[in-house]
Amino acid sequence: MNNLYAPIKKGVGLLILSLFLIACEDMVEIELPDNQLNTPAVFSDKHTINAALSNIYSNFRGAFLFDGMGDGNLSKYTDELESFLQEDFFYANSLTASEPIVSQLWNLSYSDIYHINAFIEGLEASNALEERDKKALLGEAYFLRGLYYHYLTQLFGDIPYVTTTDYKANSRIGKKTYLEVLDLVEKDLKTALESMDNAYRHPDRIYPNKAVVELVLAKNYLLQKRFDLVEQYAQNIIDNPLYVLETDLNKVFKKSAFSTLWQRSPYDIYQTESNTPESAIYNFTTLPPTRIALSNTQMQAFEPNDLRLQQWTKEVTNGVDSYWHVYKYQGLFNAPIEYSIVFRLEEAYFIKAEALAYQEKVSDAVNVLNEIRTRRGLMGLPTTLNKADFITELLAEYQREFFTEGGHRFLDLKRNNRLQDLELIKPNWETKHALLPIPESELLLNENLKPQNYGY
Amino acid sequence: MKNKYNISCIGLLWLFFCLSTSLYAQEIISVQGRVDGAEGPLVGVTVLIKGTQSATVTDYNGSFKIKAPKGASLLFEYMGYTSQEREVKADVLIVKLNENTESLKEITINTGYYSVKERERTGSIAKITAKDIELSPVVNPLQAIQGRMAGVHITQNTGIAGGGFDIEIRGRNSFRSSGVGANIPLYIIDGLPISENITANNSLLSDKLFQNKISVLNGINPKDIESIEILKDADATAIYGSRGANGVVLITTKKGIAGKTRFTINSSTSFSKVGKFMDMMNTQQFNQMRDEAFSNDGITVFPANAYDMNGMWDRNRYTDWQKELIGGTAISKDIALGVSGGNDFTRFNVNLAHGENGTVFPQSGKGFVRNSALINLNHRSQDDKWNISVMANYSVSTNDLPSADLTTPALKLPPNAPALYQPNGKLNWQDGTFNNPLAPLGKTYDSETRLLVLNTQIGYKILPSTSIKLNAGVTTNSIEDRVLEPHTIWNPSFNRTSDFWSISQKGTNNSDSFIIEPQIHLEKKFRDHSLKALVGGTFQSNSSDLFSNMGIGFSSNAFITNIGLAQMQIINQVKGSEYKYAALFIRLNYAYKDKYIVNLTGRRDGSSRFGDNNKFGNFGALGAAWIFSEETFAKNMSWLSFGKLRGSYGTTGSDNVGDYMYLDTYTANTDLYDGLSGLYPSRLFNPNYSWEKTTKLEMALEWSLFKNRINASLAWYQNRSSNQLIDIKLPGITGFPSITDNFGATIQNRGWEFTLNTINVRKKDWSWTTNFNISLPENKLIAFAGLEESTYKNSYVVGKSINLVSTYNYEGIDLSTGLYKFTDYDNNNIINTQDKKVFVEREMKFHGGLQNTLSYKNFSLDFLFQFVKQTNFNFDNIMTRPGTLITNYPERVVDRWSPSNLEGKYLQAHSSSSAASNSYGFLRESNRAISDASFIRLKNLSLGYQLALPKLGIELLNLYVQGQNLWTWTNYYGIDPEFTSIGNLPPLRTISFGMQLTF
Repeated sequence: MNNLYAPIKKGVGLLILSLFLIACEDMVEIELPDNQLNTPAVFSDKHTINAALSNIYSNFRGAFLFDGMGDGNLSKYTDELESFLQEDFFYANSLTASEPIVSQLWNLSYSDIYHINAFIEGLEASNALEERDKKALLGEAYFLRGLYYHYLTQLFGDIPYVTTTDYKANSRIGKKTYLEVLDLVEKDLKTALESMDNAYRHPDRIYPNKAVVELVLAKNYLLQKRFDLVEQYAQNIIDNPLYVLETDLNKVFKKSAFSTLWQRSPYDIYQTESNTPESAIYNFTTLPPTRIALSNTQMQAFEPNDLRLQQWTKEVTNGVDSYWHVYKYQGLFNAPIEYSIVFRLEEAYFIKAEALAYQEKVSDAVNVLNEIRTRRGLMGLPTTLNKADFITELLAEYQREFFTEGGHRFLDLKRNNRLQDLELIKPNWETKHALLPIPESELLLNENLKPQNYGY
Repeated sequence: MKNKYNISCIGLLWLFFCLSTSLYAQEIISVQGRVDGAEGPLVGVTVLIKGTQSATVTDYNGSFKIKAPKGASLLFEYMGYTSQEREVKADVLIVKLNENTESLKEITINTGYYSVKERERTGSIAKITAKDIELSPVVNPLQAIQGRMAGVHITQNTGIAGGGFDIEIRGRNSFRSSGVGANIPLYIIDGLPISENITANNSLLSDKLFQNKISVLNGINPKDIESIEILKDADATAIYGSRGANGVVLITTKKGIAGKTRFTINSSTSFSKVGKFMDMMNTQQFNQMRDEAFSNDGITVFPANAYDMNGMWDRNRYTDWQKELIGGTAISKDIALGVSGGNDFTRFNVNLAHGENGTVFPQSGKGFVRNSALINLNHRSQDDKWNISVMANYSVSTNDLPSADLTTPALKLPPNAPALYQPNGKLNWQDGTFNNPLAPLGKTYDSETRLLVLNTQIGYKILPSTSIKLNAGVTTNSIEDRVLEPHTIWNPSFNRTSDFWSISQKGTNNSDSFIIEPQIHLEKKFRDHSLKALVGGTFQSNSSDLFSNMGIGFSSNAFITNIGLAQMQIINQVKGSEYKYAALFIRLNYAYKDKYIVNLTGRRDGSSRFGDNNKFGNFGALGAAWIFSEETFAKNMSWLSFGKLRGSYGTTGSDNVGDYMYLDTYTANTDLYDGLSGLYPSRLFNPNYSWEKTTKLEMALEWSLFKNRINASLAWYQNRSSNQLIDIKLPGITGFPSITDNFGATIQNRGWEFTLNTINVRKKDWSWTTNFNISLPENKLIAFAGLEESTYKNSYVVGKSINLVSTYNYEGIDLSTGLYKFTDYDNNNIINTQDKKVFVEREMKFHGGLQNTLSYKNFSLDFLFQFVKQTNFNFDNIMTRPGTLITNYPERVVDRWSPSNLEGKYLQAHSSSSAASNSYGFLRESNRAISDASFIRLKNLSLGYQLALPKLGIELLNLYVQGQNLWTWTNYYGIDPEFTSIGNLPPLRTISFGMQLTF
């Protein structure tokens, strides 16, 4: 009898199980995945707040907005580099609005800005930090936001200034004019200036301090043509005892240089051999070059006794042909002794000189610039130069000093209305090239971004 | 309460149980015999002991042998013949079957939770069986379906074995771009769902080869499959509720047949090649283009990188790069050993298979290798109350390939590019000027995929009319892949060393799923009424873990496989995800006089992929059928053997959005800054989205004429998907490319499907049958609230297909500028996005297949033509400015415009001209880049010779030659009209020789 009864018990067991299962609604509850954290939890702890900020710095390090659009692109766009790639939109000045690199630059920048805005919103609402620390971290976030827009508006002109994380509003947002953007950048930088310290958070100067904010603010005033303020903030930096011009040019791009205002913490993967992405991009040893080399125009800009020619470029020859490559970052070290530099003291001298010249104080400007020239093995310029000649000299000096650094040449020429100089050197150069096209895909998604930049 | 009620039933159940135990006491005898048709013995007739699952089939002489209880009934079934029932009296039995009547209509169709007879089904279900699947020399079962089923369109993504497929059942239901879980149907193998969705089964490192899409069905040996049923309409799919919107693919594996222990050996060797190369420019044509490029730009001093012009290269060389790089023959070998048999109560089938598939690339790895084992065990208790089946399918597939497809270099390399090797046998870099296409072959991709599908079904008959069933199982799918990049793949002029440039990457994706589905089935018949009911529940839980790490820099490439020895080790990604699903489902089926049938199905689903307020959803459908050939008015029409009108209406859904998308979280970033790991916002926060719903309506007519010699069906369907759950595109300014949300648009997929099966000849020595199917789909966006204000304004148009491309209107070549001319709609003399006003549909007008099966004595011949009428992107879609050294072009590009050739289709060549480059940019996005991509393809041809050698104990020896993708007729401008990505290896032409031995 038991044997007969058993299967029925089993059958009923199955039935009960089925009813039990159906009853349980919490059977579709799941837990958070290992690599995710709820947003409120992120902003309730010091360490996770720091991690959220750290991510913003790692975004910054990877952003080719600050790096001349990566791979020397903005330097090829102007006249610093010659490209050996078979098809190179930057070198040929044939960039179009549908080229993926344009939308990448745009989208990644705004994605980074979203991270910053989310950080500001999250931290503003949080009580996890002491007021002082909270203000300092917020200051860094405001500074970084200003920095992104400072560069974006120089490349794209009129752009939206997004300061919230509300996607509904942001997806319809319209553009601010170039001048409005500069004003908003000024506001963000001022907020940062108030809460940031002169002391560095890290001895390697891998986070910005107050002086860095002052430099960007000065650069922004230069664009706003408020030259007295440029002079004032540039002077603050020149007077700051933390910074000294390196006399040995070989030390300028080393991690421990005293001329450095801000440098990037290296990628793990670059620590062992090439140290910085720059050395991997620019250096070559055999001919013909397969990617890029310094252009003839750039090489002709140097006088023979210029120390920068000797120390910051390197000749590669096979006996018949010779090419030069950028040698600022040598990348030959097995320990990370070179960091990729964002800003260095020399720039404060340059922008001070530029601001003085535009205030018609040309002889003062010459004296400031000569401080750099003499350290580079050059003769001082005569103080009798007129303004226009001085600006020409200044731009040449910028080119010799800052070649292949963060698209300096393009921005310097543009700021001084001298992009047309490139027409003589670059066969495809047109006025429209002063701005990049707004990515076509973006115009299709948000009508309020129209019109497209002139000429595209 | 309910539990108590159930326990009180036990007494009653027990009573029935006792009554039914005394039935078994008969004498078992061995019956032998032969089954004849009108013109001689019939092979393959199923001989079934009625009321059991014990069966055998007749051998080559029409003979059978079976053990059966005396007095039991034997049922003889054969397609195209009337079934016959005979009582077991003596031990010898000669049966004569009469041709036709009923025939196909008696086939049982599996619908997943229940099965119906073909004649009684109310839903739309297409089926193919082993007979057809075995005709194709293919790796993935989906390849065998191509062209054979109405309403099912399958695109093979790559010709490399082990890749992925896009499958569309009745058109595109979703705005999701294909491949990201867009139209993936639900795959069910013997009752177990196999997930092929966004979160699971993604290989981590195969982006270059397979775009990270690897079909989960690669782990299933097509020869292990008994049948594949595809459920299409609401009636058939609503019982799958939230997962049925894109259709359901049911795969049934081969079960054992009682009787003699049968051994089967199957062995075949296949040879595959790229069917057709593109006609590319030869050296003379290429050089002419280069000369023209420089003379057009007025350049006489050639730049350093014009290697062909400045003497670094021998510009008169010629290499057919397609032949060199993708022209090899991929050799495949398959061998399988099967054992099956059993008795009345227990049957088994074991099939072990090993298959190897080479590649067409030079000096590449081993290719795709699959070892698989299928074990099927079915047991029935003596009292016929318990019914237990166990299925296990385990396969290990490895793929060993170069890490990139060589099709792109094969098309792009200039014909006068330097030789691949130096005379000393080393790779030739031509002093660093030549990016040798074979160098990346040193970078290898290999993967190992393990797929385990383990399922149990336990059925118990409580009452003759009531049974309970439990379906439970686990599936495990793990992919481990590895990319090895030795420093030797780089141009030696870069001076790269293994210390920094040898890189090893490894990814692992483990995904496990567990399911349990208890069910109660009821079946009641009284007089003319018949009622069937089913109530069941599902609980499913999936979890998957992703892990990938990378090692950079090895002191020697000998250590590269061991990431532990790398100078730097990086853990890239650790990610786990979990998915839970619970549901209650029901089916009620009522038939009156077997003429009027109503079928009601429904499901309540809960899924963890939704926020707290939206976790549950209800789905259901009503189907009905009227078998009008049973009516008196039809009885007089002797030509009409069968006629049925059926229809269905209902809703199904989709939750295929990926896990956790409703959460507001931060995700860990493994890119350290200052040694600190980061946290970044995971997504835009939206907890409010819910199920997307597809409403399906279908009407169909099925009929058979002239004693079932002609069987046809015509179906009309209309599927409307609304509340679409997609990643809605956002402008990049919002910080994210998209947000997951329900979408206020409705897509309609409407169409006609027609199938025809005719038995043209059925004689003693020869027979001929034809199968034809055609589908005419139509895709349309029928509503889109707020389209004008949305981010989709420039992508979609109400009233048009969603396979829409906005393009520039191509007008020809402007004589004054020598550039392409496009319509300037806003008359501002600038061509830009404002002028992208012409919407072109990439549409599928119709697709289908025509299959003929002929047999003459011992020979059989089967061939299948697949035809597709469609438009698609052509080569102009990837066309760039001719004249550079890096790219060769199709021979058509010789037809360049010049003052002496005003009809030329392409612009004059330039070595550098941004105006011409831009002009090609517009051409790529113009309506000229979309054109006819229709084709007719001899998809499959199979010739077989069967014989029996009884003296040697050989039941059946089948020798066969099979071909796949043998011939293609097309006007398409591109490498292959079947698929869209021009850089991928096209599906290969395969010829296979094999034999099957059964003893």
